[in-house]
Amino acid sequence: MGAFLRRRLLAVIPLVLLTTSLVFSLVLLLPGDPAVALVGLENVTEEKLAAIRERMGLNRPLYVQYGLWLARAARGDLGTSLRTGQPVIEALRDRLPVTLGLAVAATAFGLLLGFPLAVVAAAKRGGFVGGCASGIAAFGVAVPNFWLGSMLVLVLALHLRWLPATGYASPLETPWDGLRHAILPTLTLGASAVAEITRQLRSALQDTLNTDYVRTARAKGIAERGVIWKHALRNALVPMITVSGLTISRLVGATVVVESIFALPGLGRLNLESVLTRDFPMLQGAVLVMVLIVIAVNLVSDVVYGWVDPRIRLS
Amino acid sequence: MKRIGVVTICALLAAWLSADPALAQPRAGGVLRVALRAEVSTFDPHKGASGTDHMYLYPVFDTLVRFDDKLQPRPGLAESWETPDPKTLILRLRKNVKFHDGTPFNAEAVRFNLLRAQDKTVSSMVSELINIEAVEVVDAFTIRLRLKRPDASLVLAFTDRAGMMVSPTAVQKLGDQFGRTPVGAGEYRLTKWTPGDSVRLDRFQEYWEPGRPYLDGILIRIMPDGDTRVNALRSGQVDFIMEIPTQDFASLKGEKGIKTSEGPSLAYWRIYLNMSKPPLDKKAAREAINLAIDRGALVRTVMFGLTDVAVTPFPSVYWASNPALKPWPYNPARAKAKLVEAGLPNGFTFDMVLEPTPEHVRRAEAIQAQLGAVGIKVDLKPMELAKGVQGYFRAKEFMAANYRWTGRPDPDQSLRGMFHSTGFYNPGKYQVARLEELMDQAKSVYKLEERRALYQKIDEIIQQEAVDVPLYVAPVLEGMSTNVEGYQSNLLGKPAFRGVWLRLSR
Repeated sequence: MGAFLRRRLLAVIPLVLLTTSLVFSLVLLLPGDPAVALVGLENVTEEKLAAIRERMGLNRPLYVQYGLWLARAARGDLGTSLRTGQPVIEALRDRLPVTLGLAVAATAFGLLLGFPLAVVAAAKRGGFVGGCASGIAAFGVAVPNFWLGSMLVLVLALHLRWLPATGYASPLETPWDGLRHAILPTLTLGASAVAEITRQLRSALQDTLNTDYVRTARAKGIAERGVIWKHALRNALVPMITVSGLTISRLVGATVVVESIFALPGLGRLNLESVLTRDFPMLQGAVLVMVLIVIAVNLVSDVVYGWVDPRIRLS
Repeated sequence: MKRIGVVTICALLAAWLSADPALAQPRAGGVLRVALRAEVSTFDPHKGASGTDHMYLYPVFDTLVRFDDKLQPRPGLAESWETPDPKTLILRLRKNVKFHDGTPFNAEAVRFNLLRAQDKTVSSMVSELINIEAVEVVDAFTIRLRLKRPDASLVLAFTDRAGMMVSPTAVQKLGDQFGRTPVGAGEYRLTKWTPGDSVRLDRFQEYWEPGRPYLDGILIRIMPDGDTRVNALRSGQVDFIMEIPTQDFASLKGEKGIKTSEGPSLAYWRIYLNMSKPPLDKKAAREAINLAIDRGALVRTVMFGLTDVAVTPFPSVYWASNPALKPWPYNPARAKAKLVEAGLPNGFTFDMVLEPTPEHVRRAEAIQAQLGAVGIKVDLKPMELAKGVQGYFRAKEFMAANYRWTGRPDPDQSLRGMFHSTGFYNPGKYQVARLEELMDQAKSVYKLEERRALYQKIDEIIQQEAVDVPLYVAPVLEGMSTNVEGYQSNLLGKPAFRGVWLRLSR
């Protein structure tokens, strides 16, 4: 297990280098000059631009800029926002909990609802109930989250007035308010997680239900309920580790849209705003954190997988 | 008969309402909750350049001069001003004013502010104050500005960033941190800024104007998405929103518990032409473009009828606009004749930059179709704003752009930017000598009436020479809870919450 972990951790380093350098060059491909954005169009003069480029190091070759950024980033200094002057690391620290909380809550919601739906869909395959469960899953995959979010707001917040339409309240400081604010974004983001988990688990369960040992279990006269819950489900759950990890990663990306709909001060919106205002250090930092989250989630799911299924460790 | 009854009831109701003392008397207390699209970039009024910062800056920083609903200057921290000769501007300052940190406001403080606003290493508004040669302290509450040349636009420039007074002690003490922990002399102090989420302003107890402000505070939530802002108002989470998406405005208008405010702004949609690129250097070609556009149709379809067609660079209610001018008629036959006159009987082609979002594309496609009908082909170049602005204004790669002119407090700033050969927004550096003479003349007279006459002449020449392709006025669309009283919209489309009070506080 130790060697497996070491191997996995070592692989993270080139991955981080590759993604950050990629992000760095992509950011510079964005149209629009950050120096111009900073001075304001009307006040633009060549001297002013030169001075800003000099100060921000934008006049140096790309690889030098990247090297300097990396060296500082390794020491925990991600620079300051071009727009507000706020240290990037501070902004990330404030916003990370919002996004992470949202993604985890949505995945948990996905598991909670996806689990029973998948079992029903697999067990009652071909029947009306099973068809409904599969239908819900298909709906969740097909419906775009910006539409679902708007519909939920329309019905639950504006029409019925049960929940707040937008905004964020910290669940740590104000638990009740925080919870109420979290419900709609979680449902919006979690719908696709429900769908994904249902579909994956259903097909894994169906495969397992067709194996020889399940047939043997049935032949021994075990009730169908016991066959599914005790024998089949356990094995079908192994791939769910990977699916959950992938779901969290994907949801972190989807927060860009959901955080905008609900005006949540998270990383997703920080990404969007930084792109729109050409706030490169901020964008760079926000993307870096998102990449790190995805890498970390993958790492954890790999390790857990290896722990649950010894065959993985050996290969 | 029935109708008369209704009218009577309405009249009685109106009389009863206006007699209700609770309505006439502003109530103190409560926190106004506002949703804005963009976050403040910095609370340092001298350093920032973003037009979306003002809603945050107005409450915190009192200005030397205030503006009224027609954008005419009114006393602010300067109680009065005079120009003994065209190259001298004397400001008499209000006494007993304090900054939030207790620093007294006086002529020394104004001098500190103006020098800072002129300092190239700090300020983004050097060009507005370029004509100030010296700032002299006459006595504790009088300041004299010596000018290089007469500059009538200064007074209105003092209603904007250049007139926002920062506490000299705080700037010296805080340095670069000032932009995040500002100290002004305005009605409210910044008490909490949660980046990306909200800004909390609290009442400044020692504000100079007795009884003001009415509110205990203002809470600004940042909501970039238009529908999100509308939802927040509908659900009662906020009391005030601006920049309401045009398609949502009509439905919001009649809603219970909500009142809306619509009016013109100094901003207008236009086609920017690079008039150094042939055939746009020919007046007849530009006239053809103007005559071939059906502005009324654009207003009806793209803007849901929520605004007026633009006639001059200014809306009709503005003091510098010329009410005698008529909008360009929609006359395809005359447009074709003008093309023949320009030696272009088969029309011509030009490329036009625009933003790639649905509203912008809809407008540009409508224009494309209208111009196409007379033989002028428009090659649409939708591209991201920063890239388009760079490509059109700086690199001068394109012949035209379909953008908004965002408006400025003083007419000189707008006109000089777009129509003077030195203007940044005139990428072709196209020159109409008569226009430039009049602009200089208007800048050197201080009487509003005299300036008005000159600007009206300028408006006329702009239309005669067809150097502008005005489309329609950008409307100010705001919505608020019926709980909000005393709000007055302004032509800049940048809400200032001075005088606002709440019927019920929460």
